[in-house]
Amino acid sequence: MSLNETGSVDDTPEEIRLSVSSLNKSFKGRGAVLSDVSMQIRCGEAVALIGGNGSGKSTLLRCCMRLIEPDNGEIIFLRQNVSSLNKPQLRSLRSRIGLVFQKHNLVPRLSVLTNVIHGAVWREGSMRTYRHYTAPDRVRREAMICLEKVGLPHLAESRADCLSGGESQRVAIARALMQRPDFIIADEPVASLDPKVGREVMELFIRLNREEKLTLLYVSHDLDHALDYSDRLIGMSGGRVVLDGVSRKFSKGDLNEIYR
Amino acid sequence: MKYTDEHNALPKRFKMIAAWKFVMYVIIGVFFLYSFSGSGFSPSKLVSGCPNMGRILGEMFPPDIHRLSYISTAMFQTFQMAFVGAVIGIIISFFLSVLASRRNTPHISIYYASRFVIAFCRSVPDLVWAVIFVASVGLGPFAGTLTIIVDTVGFCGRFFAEAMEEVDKGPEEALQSMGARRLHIVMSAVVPAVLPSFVNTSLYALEKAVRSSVVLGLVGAGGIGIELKVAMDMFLYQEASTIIIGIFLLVVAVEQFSMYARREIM
Repeated sequence: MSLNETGSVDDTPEEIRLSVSSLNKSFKGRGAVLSDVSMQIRCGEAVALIGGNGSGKSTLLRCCMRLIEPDNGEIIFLRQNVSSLNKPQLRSLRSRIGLVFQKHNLVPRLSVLTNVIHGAVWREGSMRTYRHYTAPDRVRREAMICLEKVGLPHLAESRADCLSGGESQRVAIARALMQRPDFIIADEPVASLDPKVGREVMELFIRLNREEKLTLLYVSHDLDHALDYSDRLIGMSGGRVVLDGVSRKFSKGDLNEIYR
Repeated sequence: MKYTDEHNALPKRFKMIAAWKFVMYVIIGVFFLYSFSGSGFSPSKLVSGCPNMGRILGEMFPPDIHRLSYISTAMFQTFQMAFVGAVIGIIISFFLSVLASRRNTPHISIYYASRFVIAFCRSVPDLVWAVIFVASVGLGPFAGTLTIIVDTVGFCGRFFAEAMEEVDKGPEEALQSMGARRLHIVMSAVVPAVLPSFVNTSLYALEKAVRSSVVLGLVGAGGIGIELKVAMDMFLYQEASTIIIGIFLLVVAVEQFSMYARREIM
């Protein structure tokens, strides 16, 4: 099954999938975390977001999903103004965006298959997706296809807390795919993985980006990954965007400047 | 930082406590000593009472087993009261604890209302609940069962809610980011995470319910307690010892089952 068959991915290459304008966010005691942040991400792009600790990358991602409320500014995500959405509309928007976390955030005591099926929660809207044994066959089948895409169909019945770090992150990606997403956001997806597994996961992301035409925005501290697995780089420092351009035009030395 | 002569002061082993804290500790200590008189604590009475205790224990043996079948029936009824009361109490506690956990409650007013109900159930002692229910529904095991339900809600409700508050937020955030509703998040992320704690608390509640159900009979709320009271009041110490041994075996059996279930489920 291709995600395109569902009609969820637009093939128009220039369509802007995410547009952030003059976004600001501050926290009590920490001051401004995001200052006048603006950026755009087009359909099918793979964009790496880089920057030092505390530069505002994760806050920016969470603001885009409205997991954190921004102070002001505009976010247009998949043609919807994120700030003006009511709760059901926001849930609907979130269901179209696969978010992959650094800590994977699987539900530990449940099976891999159940965790993947949770990706269909909004679409199915039924209690049957709480566990794999109550889910409809077509949902279970789709979850197995998503597990196949990440190379782990044999672990479907394993418990999520018995997986290695790499396997766990792949399951999190399968869960995101189960959402039939138009966009994937990954917040330091390989930070807790060893270099070999980290590279495998990044290759999986980029394969999904190329083959499934999934727009990808990920945060990385690994500059090699950022250069190798992205079309475009956005650099942040002190809550501001300080670099935005095509990846091949940058060297590792250029990127190191951001961390000074 | 390099450790040099300029920075050679070792950290203090103990921090100076604030004066008001010191005064508080002294007040608590003095009040403890003062409370000895109020509590009637008397080592001499304890020593002089030892022969009586020995006499009663002596009169308890050998246990009288003439009414064993009747005592067994009452004991079984005690367990039934505890079991039904604990299970119903646990089910009510689960729903109440969802409303009483700040992260899952639909509204802050519902949170406070649920917390109040749980605190009220817990703060009134079970014997007082038993007296109220005996007055309301009459003597017998139903009053005892209702008491155990309320007592279990007070106990489990608090621990269930606290377990829900402490659960890792990661899976919740993941489900939230996928567009899940609050109910789905609770059932799919919160409940699996707190399940070991729930099982542990529930089994402990069952043990507690069995112990409570023995005492409830003293105020007429069914079970073996009333038999024990009658036996003691009528100086039938041999029969009382049979009842006490029965209670001991029942409590130990429930605790052993509880330990086994913990090992298997966790």
